[in-house]
Amino acid sequence: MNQYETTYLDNTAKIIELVTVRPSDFCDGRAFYTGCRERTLALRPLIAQNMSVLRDFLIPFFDDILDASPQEIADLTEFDDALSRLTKQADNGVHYQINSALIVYARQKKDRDLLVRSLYHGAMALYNYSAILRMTDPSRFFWKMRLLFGEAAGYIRYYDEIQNPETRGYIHRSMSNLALCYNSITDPEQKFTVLRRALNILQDPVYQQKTPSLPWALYITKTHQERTTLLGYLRHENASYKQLHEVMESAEYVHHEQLLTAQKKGIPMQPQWLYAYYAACYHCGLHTLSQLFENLEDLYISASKEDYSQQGMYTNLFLPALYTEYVRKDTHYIANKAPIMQLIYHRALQYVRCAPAGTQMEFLYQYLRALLVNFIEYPGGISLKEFAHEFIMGRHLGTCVHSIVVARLTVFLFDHMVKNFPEALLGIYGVQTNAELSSRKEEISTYLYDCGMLHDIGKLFFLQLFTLPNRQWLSIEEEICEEHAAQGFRLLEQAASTKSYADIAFGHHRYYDETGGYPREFSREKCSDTVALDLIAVTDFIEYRGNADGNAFREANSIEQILEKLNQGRGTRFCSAVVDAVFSAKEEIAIFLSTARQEAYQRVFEYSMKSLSID
Amino acid sequence: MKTYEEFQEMFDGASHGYLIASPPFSSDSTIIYANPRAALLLGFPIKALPGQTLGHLFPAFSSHMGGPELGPFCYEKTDRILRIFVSSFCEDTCLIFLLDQNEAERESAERLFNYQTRMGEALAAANAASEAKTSFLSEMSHDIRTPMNAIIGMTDIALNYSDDSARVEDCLKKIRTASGHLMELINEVLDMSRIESGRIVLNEEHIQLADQIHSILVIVRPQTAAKNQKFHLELCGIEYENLIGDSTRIRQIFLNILSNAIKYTQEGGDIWMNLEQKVNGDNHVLLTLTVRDNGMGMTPEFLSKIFQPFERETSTTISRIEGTGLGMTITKKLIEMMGGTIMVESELHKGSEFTICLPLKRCKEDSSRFSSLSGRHVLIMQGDDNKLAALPQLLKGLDITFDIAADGNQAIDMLNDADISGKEYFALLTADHLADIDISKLLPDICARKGKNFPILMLSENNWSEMEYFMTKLGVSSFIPLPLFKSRLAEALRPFTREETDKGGQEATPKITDYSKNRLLLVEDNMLNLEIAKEILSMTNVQIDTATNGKEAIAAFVDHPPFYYDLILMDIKMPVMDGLEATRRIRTLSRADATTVQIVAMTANAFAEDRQISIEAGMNAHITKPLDAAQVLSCLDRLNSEKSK
Repeated sequence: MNQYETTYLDNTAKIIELVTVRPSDFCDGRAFYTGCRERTLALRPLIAQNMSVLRDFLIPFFDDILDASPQEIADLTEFDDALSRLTKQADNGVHYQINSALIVYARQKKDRDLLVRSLYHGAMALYNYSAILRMTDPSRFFWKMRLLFGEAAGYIRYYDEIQNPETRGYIHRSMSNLALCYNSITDPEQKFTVLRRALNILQDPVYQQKTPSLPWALYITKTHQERTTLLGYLRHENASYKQLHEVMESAEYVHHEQLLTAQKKGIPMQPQWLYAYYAACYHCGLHTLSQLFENLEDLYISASKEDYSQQGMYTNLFLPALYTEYVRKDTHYIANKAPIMQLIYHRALQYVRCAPAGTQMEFLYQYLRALLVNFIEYPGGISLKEFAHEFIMGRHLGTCVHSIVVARLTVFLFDHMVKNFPEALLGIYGVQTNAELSSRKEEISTYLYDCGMLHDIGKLFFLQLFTLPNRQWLSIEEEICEEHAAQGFRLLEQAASTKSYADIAFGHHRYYDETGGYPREFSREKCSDTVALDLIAVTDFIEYRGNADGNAFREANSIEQILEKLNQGRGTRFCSAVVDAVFSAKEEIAIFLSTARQEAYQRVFEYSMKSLSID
Repeated sequence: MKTYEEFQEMFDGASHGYLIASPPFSSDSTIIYANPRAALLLGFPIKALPGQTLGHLFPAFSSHMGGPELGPFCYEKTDRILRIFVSSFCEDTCLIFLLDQNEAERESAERLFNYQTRMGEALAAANAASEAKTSFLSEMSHDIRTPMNAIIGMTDIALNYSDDSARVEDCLKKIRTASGHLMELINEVLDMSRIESGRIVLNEEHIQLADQIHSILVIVRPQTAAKNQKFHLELCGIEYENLIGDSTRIRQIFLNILSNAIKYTQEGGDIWMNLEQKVNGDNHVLLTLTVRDNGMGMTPEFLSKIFQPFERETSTTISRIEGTGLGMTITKKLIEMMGGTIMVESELHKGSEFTICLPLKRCKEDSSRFSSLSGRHVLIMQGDDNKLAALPQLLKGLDITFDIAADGNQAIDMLNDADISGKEYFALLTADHLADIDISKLLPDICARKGKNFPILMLSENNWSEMEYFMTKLGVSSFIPLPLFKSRLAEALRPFTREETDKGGQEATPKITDYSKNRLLLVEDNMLNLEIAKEILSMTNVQIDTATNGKEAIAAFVDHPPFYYDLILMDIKMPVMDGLEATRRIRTLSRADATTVQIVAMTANAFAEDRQISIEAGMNAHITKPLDAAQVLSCLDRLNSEKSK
């Protein structure tokens, strides 16, 4: 490998070590704050050096890839493999860039083996991005994935000319993975077709005889597993007999294979395939919905609350998400299953809070998000608002500290405006007069605090982008993160307890005059509370710009710099009245900010130390 | 509508006396006109009556108590018992009817009344015609003066700021716009004049319908875009694209109808153009153009006189400068000359619909030209606007099979399926905009995957020159303009067939013809035009001599040995001796090349009768100014080709 490639890997390894910070590693809140601040300072030179590697060496090398020597290409491939292993593909952006460059090189040099391999890995990198967008718009990258997987799969025409078994393996995997590019709900027929074709070829003895070294059984099982994801489609009850049959066939196949493996190794069966089997039995008419519930409840209860393996996380968090999706079907079930759901939600919170260091966080977040998306509010149960608060407090330190400071700063600014600019607040929370504003002040303060706490909840759906801060974001990653506003809206809008905060999450990055920012779909006209929104937009900006301890990518702005920027955006990006209020209280705000973040760390520390009682 | 000439003819021959006087009917009314019978009844020479007042002529007016009639009274000068009546038909003019009492007794009252009525109507019509013509002249003088003022003003500004190139350029652009408008006005007036005098001659030339329609759309689309109007175009059953007719006049007709629709439709409105072709006998087709809009429409009153000259729809929203009021008259006359029909339906505030049917002769088509495309298989990638709806039918007509992808994702699926199953697409035919994927991202990927030799043809109604650089960079190999014609589609696909690619290898080197052995005599009196022509032709290496009038041209021709000149480019209007006369004289010279030397006329206009006159004078062809090198070289090519035979 080149020196710069080694440097990038070394720095990334150090960063992985540094980012694993937990409150429980510190004696008190102050130490926790200091530790996090030191960590941020330690990250900065590593990130800067990585950026230098990318800007000065790797990206220019990609630009001139056609002039690369075979050794340089071999080095690049080796670097890509090493980076993927080290980061568990968390540095997906660089992985994608490398393989895009290799595709260009391989096409030009007519290196079929390298081309097929790079097409596969390029498509998989896009699939990883799609997985981040799983809850929002995973189809954004589907067309490009189809092109790459499809081109790799198309080399099956030259199967006999291709001697490298690894390349042949990539062809088969690409053909199966084409199914990843279709949404089970919106493109089921195409997904069925692609999987049918892939299985036909994988099960064709002619191909198996031509390349006996390939793991055919694994390929076949994985393809069947992918077909069981069409259960999502079956849940919508539009499936044809043929489709039901195919899903059942795959569920049976996977169940059988898993059973054999479990018996052979003396371990329990993997819960996801048991679920697939149970669900398929229900959708194909073999079991009733009650039987399905029973099977899922048994599976859930039998799981250990301390199991933080991927299987354990699946059973503790994702299986309940699937369970609630079936419960949603009928209000009768919601009433019936209330005690079980109460158990599910409390256990989930406890499980998440107690996750030990070294937990595979990407799975934890993924499963927890699924639980949030399918959250059901029922009388007497935990509300989505409470659950979301816990979710924010319990996970992702950066978002949590930021939300606490924004919430408190918003209330602080509100108090200041009630005293000095009450007219500018009319309309907030439906308040029409100054007298009403005074009489409902406490109520509105609580509401604004919750607005601040929940405004960035959508970010928790994109935590993969935050978990490895080894370089600046690529524009593609920035665009993905911008989805957090729409995702926050979708999540909060679904339940009565959070509905009033949905527009705040949706519009807090959109300009006041709607000429900029995101998302474009947001409309002030439809916003339920533009006064609260304008407050959050300003406090969010102040907190983000003034963050001196949590942002490893750049230095914080001084209060004067922040005020200058606010002034520049007066009337365009920000509401003039709110900016005026900030200017009139700039000394107080400066004092507030000087301690606010430290206090937020203290609260996170205290929260993590507090145990949660389970009914 | 009667003209004044017709009116005069009618009154001059009348058997009753008529006076026309200024209103109101009183002793102060002044006589404007008297017919011969009135002069006889009143005993004056006909020219002596205009200018006299009724009171002076008829003292009996002193006792006139009002009303439309005076008399009977004794008119002393001719010793007749006269009765005079004023017609109520004309409000602006008094038409006075003079009657000898003795004659009146012989004629029935009814007959007299009818006569009076007829005369009154004639006068009213003549007045209206006069008014329209006067108003037209007044407006025309304004219309002409306006662009002329702009041209003069802008020229002055440009001269004053000759060092400021940006300002000069701005002035020149404005001068060009004003000149164009002026030219349009003059052409319409001239056209009307030619039509009225019966001097217009229709050409019978080859029309390529695709070229014809596209040349019209190049003008129409920017106009609709400027008004944010939605332009819906549909072609139906266009089987024969090569026709015979007067392409300039057909273009004029189509443009007139379309530009009226644009002009009289509000911003953001809709304009529908439908072109349909039906076989009309063995060798003819009937081309039907329907233009519909949801614009301001017309009142029934205006609709009834829409084809009359000098009539313009009045509206507060339409600028008075926008037309001469001759367009629809010219259009109708031209259509009728072609044996066609025009119909119009309209409702005020709802819109109008014009339907034009033109019978046109068909040219023989060579269907074997596109045989190399037969059996090919293409992929169609449709946009979100159904603009490629006609494509499947046309492909079938070329014996090309196809798969249709509704969007980019489906196209990728089809490319994948084709690759995996071993099927090959001959080409991708794509819309310029997709419903699901940004085409500027997808096309480079398809191009990279399929290779540079895979034809990607873009079908678009946008101006290719504006998108060519960008789209070529994206991987687009060729462009097919919409609306789609079979010939355009086939011509675009054919170069990518193996047969044509092989031919293309030989033709890839540009054809360089050596013109250095050709001698050309350029006859032009305007020194600036002469310089421009020399400049244009200098790059061809052709040898050029010049003459500034017909006499010099003859001298140059005579002074050189026979067959010295291959071509004489002759201006028509020149001092000393014009081009036509010079040509006639050259053709009568007694030398071997007098009748064979190619003489090509150069004129600024392209009227058919000018061509006819130049051919009658002995010229071989006709090219238009400003001179285009390609036209001249084409003449030389033809000449060289004939020589080589």
